[in-house]
Amino acid sequence: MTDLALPHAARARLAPEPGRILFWALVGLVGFLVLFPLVALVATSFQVGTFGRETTFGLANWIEPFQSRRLGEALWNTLTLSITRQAISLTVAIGLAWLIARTNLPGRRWLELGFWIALFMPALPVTMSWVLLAGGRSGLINIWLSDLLPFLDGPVFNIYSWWGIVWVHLVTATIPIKVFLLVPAFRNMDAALEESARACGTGLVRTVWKIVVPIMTPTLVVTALLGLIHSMQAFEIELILGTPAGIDVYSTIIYAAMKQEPPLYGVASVLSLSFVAVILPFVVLQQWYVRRHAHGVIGGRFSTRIQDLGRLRWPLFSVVLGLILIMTVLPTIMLVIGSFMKLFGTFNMPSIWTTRHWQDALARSELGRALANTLKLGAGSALLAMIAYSLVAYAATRARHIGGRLLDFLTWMPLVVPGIVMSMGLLQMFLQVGPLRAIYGTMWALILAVVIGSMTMGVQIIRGMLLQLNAELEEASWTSGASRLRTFFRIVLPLVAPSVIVVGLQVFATAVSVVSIVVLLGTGPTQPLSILQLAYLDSGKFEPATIIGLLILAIAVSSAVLARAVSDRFVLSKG
Amino acid sequence: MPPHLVSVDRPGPGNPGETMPDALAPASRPAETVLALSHIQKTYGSFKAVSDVSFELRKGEILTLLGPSGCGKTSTLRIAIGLERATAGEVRLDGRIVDAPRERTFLPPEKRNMGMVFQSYAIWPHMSVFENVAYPLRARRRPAAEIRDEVTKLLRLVGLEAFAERRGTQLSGGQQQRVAIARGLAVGPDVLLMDEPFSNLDARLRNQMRAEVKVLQRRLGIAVLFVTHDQSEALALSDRIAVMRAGNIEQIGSPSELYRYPQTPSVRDFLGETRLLPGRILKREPDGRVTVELDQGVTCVVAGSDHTRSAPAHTKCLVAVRPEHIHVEPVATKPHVAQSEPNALGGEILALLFMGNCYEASIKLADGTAMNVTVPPGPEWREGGQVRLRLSPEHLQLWPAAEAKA
Repeated sequence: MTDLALPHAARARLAPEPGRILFWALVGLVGFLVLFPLVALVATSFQVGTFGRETTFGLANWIEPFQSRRLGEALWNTLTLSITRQAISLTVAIGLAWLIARTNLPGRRWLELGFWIALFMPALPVTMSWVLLAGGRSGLINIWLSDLLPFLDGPVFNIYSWWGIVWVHLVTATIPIKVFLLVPAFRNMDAALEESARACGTGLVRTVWKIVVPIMTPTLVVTALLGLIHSMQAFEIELILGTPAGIDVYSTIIYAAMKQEPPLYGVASVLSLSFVAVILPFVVLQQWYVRRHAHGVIGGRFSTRIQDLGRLRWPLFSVVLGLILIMTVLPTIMLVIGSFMKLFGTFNMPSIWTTRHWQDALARSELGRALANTLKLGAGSALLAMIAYSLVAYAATRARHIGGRLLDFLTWMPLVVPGIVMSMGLLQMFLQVGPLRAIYGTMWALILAVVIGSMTMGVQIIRGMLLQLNAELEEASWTSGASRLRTFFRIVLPLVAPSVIVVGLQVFATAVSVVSIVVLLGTGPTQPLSILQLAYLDSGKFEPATIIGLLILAIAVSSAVLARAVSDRFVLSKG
Repeated sequence: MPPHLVSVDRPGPGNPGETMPDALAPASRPAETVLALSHIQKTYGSFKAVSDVSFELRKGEILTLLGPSGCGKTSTLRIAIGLERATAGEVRLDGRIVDAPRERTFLPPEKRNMGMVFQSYAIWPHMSVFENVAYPLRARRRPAAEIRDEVTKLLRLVGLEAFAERRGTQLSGGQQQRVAIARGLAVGPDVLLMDEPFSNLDARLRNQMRAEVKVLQRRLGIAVLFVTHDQSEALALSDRIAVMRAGNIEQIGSPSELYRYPQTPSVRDFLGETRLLPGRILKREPDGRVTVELDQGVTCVVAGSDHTRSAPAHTKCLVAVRPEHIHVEPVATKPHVAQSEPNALGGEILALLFMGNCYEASIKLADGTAMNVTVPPGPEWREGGQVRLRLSPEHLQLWPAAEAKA
């Protein structure tokens, strides 16, 4: 599943004549869906005037935001926050991945599962739990600390800060995703290289830094660049923690422009397009680097004996376990506590606890509706994603002409375009293209947004699986007299089914907790849990938001665990 | 090939182009053509995989494309079935054009009535043995009852009727091979194509499968186009062999024809073993015999094929001999006397390797070079003993010294 970043050396043997018309129709459809939102943004960016009234074409939108100092600050914050997070998380993740993949750390398979669960911990609910723990003076940790050490002046840890944002990112997806990407790479490394270093009298830590890290450099660079691209697009955590502290990032100022009354669509479009322009160089760099170094990355069948940690075994185990508990169990407990509090985050009251919020929430119809919407969104996205991604991955892998590469390129586009920008672009597309207007305001708009947003990851995973399939399995079907379509459904699809199911479950988990890509689309009757939660948070109703957060967390984590079970049972055992 | 190695040949007509009646060739010589490739070319970008290949596959024969990896044999096979399209040329199946780039004609593989056995067997792991074999019939929408009968018959044919409900992945390599063959035969194809089908089997099983395939082919009378890089496999299995090199067919003919009368150095070296002795032409007799002065210091009369295009005296040349045609005899003393005798080389046994039914003797020749020859087992051989190697003129062939190796 490392294939997200590493293209395989594709086998040259390919199919004869594909169904050309079908193929180009697919390329056209994918191209339209990923590129048109950007085109719509360009068009909107030249419309001057208030939304809903007479508009004229002009350049005003392109001048105004660049005169504001806020934009420069937001850009600076975006970059510094992202780079800081990547530097810290990469260092930590190298150690963790090495411990899990290469040493006799106790229970390492379970710890790996722990990071997998952490990867799917939804950002908004976790952010809220950290607000409870370290939200200024009333944060639980700060209260304890000031009781313990009365001479302290003011809160020690303030989550509403630059470092607060970094911390919450680190303990949600940023570290787990790197562990997830690096562990397989570390597993493929030749153990003899480490052992010879140890035999020369080099210590453990020195071995990792002087031998393991240099060998893994290509993988690490790719992981870091991908991480940087994702980091710059982050939205929810910055919105909740940065706004009270006056810390803007690029995605939040786009959101702010959109949420003004009347919404500044033109300015938001300009901001979105310039945001894409900022991210694009990193994507180009990442792709260029992958192409140059792909061969050094994939290991062969080497000795994979594991390192004995000796006396450090159990202490290191406690550290890793502690980290996982901080990432998963602690936020969950805090959310449960928060949902039973009279006033969210206020621990210094005579009577703290109540069940009123649960009674309210369960009585309220909007929660039920949002839950239904979320399940519809999750199931719809997962189903559509499984069909669409397998078709696209298959076409991109097996078409040998230029179209195959074009299709592959198109599937990387959603990675370039931040969720909030894609949300903005899709909104413009639905509003401006006549036949698509019918979709706006329905669940299909959200499903489409989620499927487009997860396309890069999903297609790359299925593509990796397809590239591992021996081409002769398909060829044997053609020479048996079966058509291409029959071959796809009877041979290819059953063989990659486990990966496709894993992708579907991952998309489901994403759809349940996703905020940025649907935030501008999911309103009124189609509002899913995640957006309802954001709305509660926006209006300061933390208690119902906590209950929703718990629901999202439960759904996302169970589908993540299910995905893991499927992949452990079927995908990994195949190799 | 290193210059110190020698070789022999069987008696045969002086002109190599002629063919002799052959016991192994199919009885019906002018049989009808099932598959015909003419002037096939295949290029990938600037790389020419197949330069110009033409051959005809006749009804009921096994034709093998033999050559080292990268010679274009697999590309040719894949063009024949339609998994690749030719860049130029024409493929005809039963007289019907199925691939002709100039006429923009192409029939995809699923529409050609051919079966194929892949190198990896390509047994679908998500289906049972029965379903694997039934697949080609289902793709042609045959009625269920017919499919059941047909598949049962095919599985019995390859001896797997007891394994019908197993998964493909639960079978051994040889059994998977049989499933692949049964599947290839399922629709009663005109031609069965086999791409290195035995290369993943161990040596013992490979021999057994070769025999089975040949028996099966003889029974069904189906035409088989076979691809391999293994010369002993090609010799054992084929009615005819086409030796390929660098995208071209070097020579095509029956196995014994190719073995006895190779037309090019690469065919000679690829099929069986050859020992080469460098020398210089002394004189030519009117009857075609050539006397050569070997670098070993002895003269040698060559009566076999002459590939030097009647090169004049003093031209450098190579005398080629198959190791089984070198007659070795023990001698008591150092071969001072023997030196004068033509077609005989003196030598000393450096090492004896016991091979069971024979010895392999590593012999040091007069000029210090070594040569390996097999000798029958017996007490007369000992390490350090003196021997004489006799080369009968009829088994010797003459080749030009400057051989283009590429």
